[in-house]
Amino acid sequence: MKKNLPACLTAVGFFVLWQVVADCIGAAYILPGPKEILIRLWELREPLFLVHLPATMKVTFLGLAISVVLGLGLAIAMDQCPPLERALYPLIVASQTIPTTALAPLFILWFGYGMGSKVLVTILMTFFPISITVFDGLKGTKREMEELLMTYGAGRWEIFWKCKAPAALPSFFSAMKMAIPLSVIGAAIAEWLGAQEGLGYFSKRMMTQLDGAGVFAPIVLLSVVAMAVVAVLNAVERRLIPWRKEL
Amino acid sequence: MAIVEFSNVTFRYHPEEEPILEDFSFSVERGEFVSIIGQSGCGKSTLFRLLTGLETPQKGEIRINGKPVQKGSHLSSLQPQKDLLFPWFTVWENVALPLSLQRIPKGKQRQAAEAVLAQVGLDPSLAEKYPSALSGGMRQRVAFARTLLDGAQVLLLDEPFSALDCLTRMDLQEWLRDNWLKLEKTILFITHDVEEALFLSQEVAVLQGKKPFSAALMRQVPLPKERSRAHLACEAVEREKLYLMDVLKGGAR
Ligand SMILES: Nc1ncnc2c1ncn2[C@@H]1O[C@H](COP(=O)(O)OP(=O)(O)O)[C@@H](O)[C@H]1O
Ligand SMILES: [Mg+2]
Repeated sequence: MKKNLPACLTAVGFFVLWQVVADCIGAAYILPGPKEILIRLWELREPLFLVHLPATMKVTFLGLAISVVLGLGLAIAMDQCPPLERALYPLIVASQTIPTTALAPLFILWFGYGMGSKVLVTILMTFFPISITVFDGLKGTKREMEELLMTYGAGRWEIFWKCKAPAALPSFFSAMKMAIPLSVIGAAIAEWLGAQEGLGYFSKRMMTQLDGAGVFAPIVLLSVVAMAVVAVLNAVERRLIPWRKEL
Repeated sequence: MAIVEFSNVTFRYHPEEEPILEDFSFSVERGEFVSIIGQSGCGKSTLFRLLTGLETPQKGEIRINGKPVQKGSHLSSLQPQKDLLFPWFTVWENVALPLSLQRIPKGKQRQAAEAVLAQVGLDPSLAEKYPSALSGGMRQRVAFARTLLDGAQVLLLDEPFSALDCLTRMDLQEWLRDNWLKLEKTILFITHDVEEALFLSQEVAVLQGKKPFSAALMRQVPLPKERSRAHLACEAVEREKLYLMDVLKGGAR
């Protein structure tokens, strides 16, 4: 706790400064203070928590779940099958430099304003980072450990479960911690571009009504949810990987 | 009959490279403790890679217990150069690793692991700990326990003590000899330390001269089977030590 004190103080200072600046400007439709945002969050609690948050979470988790399954699958397939690795890995690494957010409008163009295109945008944002990070984790295992298992008579899947999978577990958690905020961004952007519900859509609607605090409220909500999920993941990771300090 | 036998083995890692072994023949009798010494990088660990089937010779045959060594034939138990304990398994899970690959039930694995941990002089309370909690000497004992549970008659120990401090090392040398006397195993022991080789083994095999090797220089250690460190001071051993050091430097032939 003591270690985090300076960071906490900085954060508090930031919010105080924000409030002061916002009060000075006195134009809540451009820059509302934290206080105004919290009040608006409370006023809008029903549409936010009952309609738009669930809608965005549905897209986020659906997209993330599909990304995890596909990403893990691709990482394992490339690890087990070197020709596949040579054919795909360089392309996936190169694809990392494409600004995927810029592609999001295409999905709306092709698949419309429904759930499907939003999930697709989320998958697009998270699939490649997950496969690369997990694949690097699988490749990072010590060759000698695999060879030792071979001398004990282990086959390739036994080597995978005894050595590669546990060694890649920290990478898997890193990938998830990276993918969660990305999937939230993906869902929100897709909603911004066109939707009937969701926090991104709600934020945009508030903007057309010049409701500054109303624009901020859903954004704050999204950030808090992403941070909370990552915090839960951190706790699970500490539980699941008590040996992590050795790597 | 020899339990370990290389007959006219030729081996190289890469087709365009100079072979490490050419027409190499070498054998070890059952129940022996043979040390293998040689300059670093000369190919000692490669002998073990061949004996465990991790590498296949281009020519010749390697037999253990009369059976030809092949990929996955599992005729010897290797203890690799680093202790290579798996950080994600507890001590007992590490020790039981060879058994878990033979699909033996968990309860039996645990029993066997605890028995062998006691045999190598480790407290049973360590069983649930992770390897990161152990000292270097304890890790080597755990690694040896795992090698024993693998169960082969021939143990291949690759510089197990080279990373340890001097006192732990002397302690473990004595401990290993005691274990060998009790266990009736055949041990091949790689080291770059001549004194360690003389203290531990009945016979020293030297990989000497230029690659490719076609034989190892075999030297009997002039000490009885039951020995103590004090024996190392006798004149015959001193002479042997000087001779071996000379051979290693490439002087004598
Ligand atoms: N897996 C491998 N692949 C290719 N070359 C290797 C491999 N292992 C060892 N070598 C080479 O073979 C030679 C002998 O290595 P090694 O048997 O490990 O020597 P030592 O154990 O005596 O120090 C070295 O030149 C080393 O670079
Ligand atoms: Mg070596």
